[in-house]
Amino acid sequence: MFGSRFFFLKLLLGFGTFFGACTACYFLGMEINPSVRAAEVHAPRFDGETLWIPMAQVDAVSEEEFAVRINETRVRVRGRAEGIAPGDLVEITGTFHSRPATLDLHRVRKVAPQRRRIVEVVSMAVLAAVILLFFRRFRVRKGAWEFRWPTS
Amino acid sequence: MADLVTHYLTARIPAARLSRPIQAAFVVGALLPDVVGKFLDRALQTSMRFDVPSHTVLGLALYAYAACFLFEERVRRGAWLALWLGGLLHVFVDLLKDTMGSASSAFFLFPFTARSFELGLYEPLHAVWSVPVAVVFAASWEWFARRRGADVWE
Repeated sequence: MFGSRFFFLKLLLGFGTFFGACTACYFLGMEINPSVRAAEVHAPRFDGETLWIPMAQVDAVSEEEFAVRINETRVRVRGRAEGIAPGDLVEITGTFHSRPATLDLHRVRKVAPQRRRIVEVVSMAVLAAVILLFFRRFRVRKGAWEFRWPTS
Repeated sequence: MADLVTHYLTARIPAARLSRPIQAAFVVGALLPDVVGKFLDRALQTSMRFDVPSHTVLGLALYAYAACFLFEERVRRGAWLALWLGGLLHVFVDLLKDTMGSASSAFFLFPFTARSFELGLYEPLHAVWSVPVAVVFAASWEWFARRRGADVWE
């Protein structure tokens, strides 16, 4: 199973099975984070289910409810939005009801895209450092795609 | 995605007890889920549902198997195990976050179940807290280990 015989076939099998799993997840895992649009299209299936909206712009706020816009879709959210104002970017979970698309609010919190970008930049620096350290210790053997230890 | 700084630091402690080449595989394994997930997300522009296996127990075992063929045959079996265990540590660290149950890691048992689970101790972007805690924890552990004469890391 781990031998070098049929090396490329095994490599292909590993990656192929993984991509197969990703494809299967895409088609079979409809209940994993469905979008509002998908929930509307398959309304009977998702009525009463909890939905997660990763990013939406607050459109209007009143005392008992607020509205958000996700691309072209406007969704009414029933629940108090404390500290939220029109124009804010928010992340929401709530129970979905179709026709018209409405959510009973579970949780809402503001999204900070610029902070996410900072975390990603720092993470890229760490990744680059780990790759550098890795190649300080390992080298690719001539004629084969194998990392060998030690480098000396 | 918790930040890679936290994942790197939390991987250093258990990896220090492993033999040198396997050590590297463990640390790389702890970073791979985000690298693979981001590659699928950004480079291939796939939907989040497609990326989920990058953070599942089964998905990790599969691409760790493919990745272990980059190591020489002598250490390949150990490298696969280290890559997989490093990935599982990554998922465990991710489960400490509060992503409202939406992160790929929260579905770590897919395809066995599609229910999400996480411990929800801190918001993902509060790395301002998690990074210093991980740095202090890793640095103090390594300091104590070195004081006792253990050769923990190169």
